[in-house]
Amino acid sequence: MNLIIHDLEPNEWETLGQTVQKNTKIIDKQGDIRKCIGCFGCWVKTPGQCVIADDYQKMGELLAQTDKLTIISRCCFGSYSSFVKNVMDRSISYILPYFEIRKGEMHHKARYRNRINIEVVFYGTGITENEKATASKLVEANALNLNASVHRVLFVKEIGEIKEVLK
Amino acid sequence: MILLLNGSFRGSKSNSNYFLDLLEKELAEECERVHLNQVKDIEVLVAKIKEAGALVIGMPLYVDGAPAQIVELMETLYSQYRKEFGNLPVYIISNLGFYESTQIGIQLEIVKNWCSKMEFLYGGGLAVGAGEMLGSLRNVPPDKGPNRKLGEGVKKFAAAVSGRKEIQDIYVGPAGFPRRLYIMAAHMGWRNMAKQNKLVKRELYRKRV
Repeated sequence: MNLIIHDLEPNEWETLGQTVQKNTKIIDKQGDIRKCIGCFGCWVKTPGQCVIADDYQKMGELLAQTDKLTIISRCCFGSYSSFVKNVMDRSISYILPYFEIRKGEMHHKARYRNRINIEVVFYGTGITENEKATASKLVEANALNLNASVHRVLFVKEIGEIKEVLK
Repeated sequence: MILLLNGSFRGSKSNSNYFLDLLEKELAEECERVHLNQVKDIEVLVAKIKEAGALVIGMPLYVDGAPAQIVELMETLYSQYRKEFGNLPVYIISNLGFYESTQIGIQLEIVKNWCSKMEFLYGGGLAVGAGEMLGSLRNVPPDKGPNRKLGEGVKKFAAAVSGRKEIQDIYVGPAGFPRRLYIMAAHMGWRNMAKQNKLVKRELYRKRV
């Protein structure tokens, strides 16, 4: 399955002219979302699912079915936007609480066998070179933690350019 | 006044708040504590930041970066209040569950990038590895045993905050406590938590699809 997580407004999303295929799931900010409170419930209480009952409770389950993840986010100081970061924060049920060493560092063991290929489009005017470098490192680090791989990390100024670069 | 902003949504009991406590003990100046999860009106927080001579944000590492609530705060302050604070010195104390505090580096860069756009002075960060362990050793004196590096780091960090000086980011972890022991203890911790929730070991591996 393809999963798209984006922080665009409905009219901005329209401009992408994405014909959404059957095997594509879209996560956008139209739902009700609450913040991760660091309770570890998704690991030790209801393993594999967040304990917060809102529209983003089952991110772990979705990621488990995902081959290709596309993230479209405003670049905020080298981070994803708060909405996209919120979705990521709420997604850690995808991995296990248990640790292992990968590339010389502690990371979480995988809960599922699928391996996600991630592409990210960061947009925004005035993204600095430092911010680009930070954002690229962030995506690499996420991929390592999620046992995933990075397809590409792109930066555009205008939302109108996203359609072109995603072709 | 130094504003100590606790960005953890675990609130006053969080490790982030405890590390701010350790810092506060080393500061001679008046400090004020705000818990981000209790902020109802952003204007109240903005007024406090304007009053402050320095801002210290305590937070955990979430998914390799700043937790969403911190990104949200950075976005709001940048889009709506950017010109209102002057050259405020900003410091960060962050902790993570992994052993290596170096994994906090990206989060510190994000705050640094934000400071640069806000025209704040990025004073420096104190990155605490094995936060779940060091956060639980609250009865061990901050200069003893596994807390030794943390204690030293907090002292050095506090001196910078007091003097509004820029320092290199400080990375600390548990002193004399090897990573493999930390991992063993952490795994035992997960199993105990599962047990408290009436789950058996195997259920922690549950697959939903």
